[in-house]
Amino acid sequence: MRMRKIRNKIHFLFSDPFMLFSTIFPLIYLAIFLLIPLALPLSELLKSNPMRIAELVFQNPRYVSTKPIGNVISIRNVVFGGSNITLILLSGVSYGSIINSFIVATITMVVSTAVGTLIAIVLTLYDFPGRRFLQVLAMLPLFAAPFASGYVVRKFFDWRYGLLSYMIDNVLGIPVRIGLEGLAGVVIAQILGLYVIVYLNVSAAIANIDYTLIEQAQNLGSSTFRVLKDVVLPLALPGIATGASLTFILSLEDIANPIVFGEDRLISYEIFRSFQDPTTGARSPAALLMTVIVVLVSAIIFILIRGYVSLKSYASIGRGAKPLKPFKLSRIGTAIVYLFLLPFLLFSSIPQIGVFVLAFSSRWYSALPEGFTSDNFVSMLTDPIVSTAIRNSLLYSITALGIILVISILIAYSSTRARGAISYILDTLATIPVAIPGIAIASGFFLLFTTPPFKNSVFDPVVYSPGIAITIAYTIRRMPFMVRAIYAGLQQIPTSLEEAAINLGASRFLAIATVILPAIAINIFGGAITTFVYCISETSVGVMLGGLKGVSIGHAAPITFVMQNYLETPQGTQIVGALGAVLIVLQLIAVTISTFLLKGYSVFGVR
Amino acid sequence: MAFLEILGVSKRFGNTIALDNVTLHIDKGELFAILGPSGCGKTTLLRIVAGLEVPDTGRIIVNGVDITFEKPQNRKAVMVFQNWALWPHMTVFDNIAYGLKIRGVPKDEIARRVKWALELVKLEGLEKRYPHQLSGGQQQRVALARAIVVEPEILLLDEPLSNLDARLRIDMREELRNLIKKLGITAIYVTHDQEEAMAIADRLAVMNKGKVMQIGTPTEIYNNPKNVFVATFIGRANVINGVATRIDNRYIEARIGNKLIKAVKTANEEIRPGDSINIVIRPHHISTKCDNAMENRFTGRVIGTSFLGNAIEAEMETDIGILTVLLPEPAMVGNKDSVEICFSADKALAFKSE
Repeated sequence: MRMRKIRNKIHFLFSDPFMLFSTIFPLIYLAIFLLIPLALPLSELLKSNPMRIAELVFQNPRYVSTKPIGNVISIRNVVFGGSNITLILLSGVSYGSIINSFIVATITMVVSTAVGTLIAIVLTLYDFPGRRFLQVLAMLPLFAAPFASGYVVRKFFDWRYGLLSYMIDNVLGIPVRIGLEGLAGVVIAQILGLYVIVYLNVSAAIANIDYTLIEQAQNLGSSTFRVLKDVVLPLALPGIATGASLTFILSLEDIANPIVFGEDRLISYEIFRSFQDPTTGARSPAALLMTVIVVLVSAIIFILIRGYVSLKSYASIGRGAKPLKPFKLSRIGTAIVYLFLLPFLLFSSIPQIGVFVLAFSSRWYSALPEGFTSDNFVSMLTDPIVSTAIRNSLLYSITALGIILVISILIAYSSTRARGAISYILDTLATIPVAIPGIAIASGFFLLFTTPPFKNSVFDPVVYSPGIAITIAYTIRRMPFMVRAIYAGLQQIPTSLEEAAINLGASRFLAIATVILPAIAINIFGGAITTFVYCISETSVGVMLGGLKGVSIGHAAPITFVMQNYLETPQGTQIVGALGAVLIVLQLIAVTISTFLLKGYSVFGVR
Repeated sequence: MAFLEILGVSKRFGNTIALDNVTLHIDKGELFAILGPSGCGKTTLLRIVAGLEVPDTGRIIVNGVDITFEKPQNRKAVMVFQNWALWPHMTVFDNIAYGLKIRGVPKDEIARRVKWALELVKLEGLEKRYPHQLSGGQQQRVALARAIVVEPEILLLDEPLSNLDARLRIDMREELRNLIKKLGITAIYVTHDQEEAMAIADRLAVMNKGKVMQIGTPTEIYNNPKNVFVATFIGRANVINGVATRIDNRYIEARIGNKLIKAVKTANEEIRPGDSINIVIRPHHISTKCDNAMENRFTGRVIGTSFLGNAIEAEMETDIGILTVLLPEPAMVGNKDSVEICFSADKALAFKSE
């Protein structure tokens, strides 16, 4: 019976070549360009003496130290500008790169989760005048410009020339200056950029709660607080968990903020630095070990959270879910919101506002820009290095988008139509890059393409050009955006629409082309815009692989590499600001269009 | 040899058995219904005939040809889906013409046949509309037109009327039967509605938990159910548990509490004295007009009534348990009334307990 069943299944699969192709081709692609690159650092490590390497790394105080260096906060009196001031400096304590990374990621995760959840509850569950405006404001940190956003945070908190200290000391006349640097700077910059991930996930989870569940609790006598505690928060837990785990992973992989703050005592910076001398550095035992740690931690978090979210996906089990109706907020509540939440949201949008100020400033050394100009955008387009980078980014992103489009359609189709283990594996492989740090993918790609059979071929980023490696890395890193968008579309279409076409004589390919693709065209378009924009602003791989062939005229680096390269050069900072402003506007357009088209789907899971 | 043969078909989804060794023989031009509760495997069977699922074991033979592994697009078994599966981005015309375009039918011929199909389902003039601009009944007709326009050998209907309101469902099922008969198509009609199945089908199969319980004409199945499941699924029925005491060629006498009940012995089961049995009696076979021909008599106390228009359905407490009785209007009984009720032994069916 069992053998006959297997035989019948195989017979069925082979009688449907398109189905077979749509399963096998993406599997092969993901195996070569996702699994192998992720496994390579581990296999390289195992080739040498892994235990000895681990011992050396873990005993080296540069990586792991039990003796803390520095203070979280230091307060001292200094002379600045001819007068005595009190300097409050937040800098953070170092326990070595590996420990630091986990401490930074944990603090970022805890604070982002608390802040993001609180804001989501207030803005989703309650209604008050100006709620829509605050919701838009809370979304702003989503639109980030690599390096430029972090630079603005650093600049804002610079105790000598920053706006905050200027306001306190020069405007208010209080002789106190506050500075932010090192690990503390990285944490603050990350929180400002990442709490929005939690906010989006939790507010989507709350908005998805069937309102009758809340009404039932009220009907049984629950106060608003009890409803929140007993119904809303437990049902929003998958959203909170997803948001928290993503902020942890994104903090771990963040390379831009450590570079901006010059904080090299973090795993991401260590791996980044190993690429400064790629032939030896990227294959150094310490870099390999840290890459392996990052991959393992992220993969475990992803698998745990995926299992947890699917276990807890019980937002609506009944029929006829009713949309959420927010509670009316009292006058005191509204006053509290405007007294605390509004200032925080304005504060957290400093990076976005600051990037535009930077983009249009002629010079910005002191607290405020010394003049405004649009010349930075002209420089951006005429500077040969930058314009080449723009051209490269467009080429890599468009090519990657084409590949992503084809593979995502195949994956989404195959995993929604063919049930069973293979489709589960395919779906997992296609979405796991959301959780795999770009630094790990960059390391893996470097190892893959500098090892036979790719070594010395067109794929080799050192010998030939990093262009192909970057493009393929984009396809892997940004595929989840497209797969999820198409997946969302396919789930809305009853399978019977396609079966009806097949039943009337169409081949599977024809049924997809004439019935399925036209029906999900909007999802594809929305997903494509988002994917394209996130390819262009991709940072980790671009920064780490982009400069492998040098940065001269006709270079192969994308814009994010040039942003990192230009950040500390005279006039370069303003060009970075202009590039950042363009990226933010592009993201804004993409998200607006896709939200409008896709009615607010979430790439990150809970919706 | 039957036109469509479903031979020993089984199908599992994980640990769930959807179909368990199902065999059916359906003649050419026959309208055959598959009736059963939700999850009994009836839709799976239809999808296997359409080629949308592949059976774990068993064969599908059409006109002597084994089509078990034939691609769905190459079969001439066209399905009308439960949700009708109309393509929202295509007009009524394009929906109906789709199958003809796939088959490479010339344009003018397509136009002619779509017109013919639209006339047949009484939807002339609506060809330029989109599905969302149609009512539920009209959408259902488009789905039907789309299926019949390609002149299928077998028409598969998966609960096609379940999304319509009650009145429209009754009108549509008559129209549907007339149309299928007029075209002479062999059709399988899947439904969970026993009244619909009996009204529309030439023959029907009752299914439960992936197995075929009984096959026959609606009258055969209604009057001679093979087991308690069929008896209770087709029409309403009281089921009384008892122990067999005396058995002759035609009747069984059973003890229920202090009472003795006489019922007809069903042919297919060997029952011995002492065996536990179920006696099935339909509510309308129980009467308040009792005479000597009615072997089984009791006093019933009315504990609840429902007015059904042409009759009253009364719940009555009796010595053999609570019975549902259907009394034609005017019934003249009220709550807490005690009345004499009775039924003929010929109308009560005895089955061995499972």
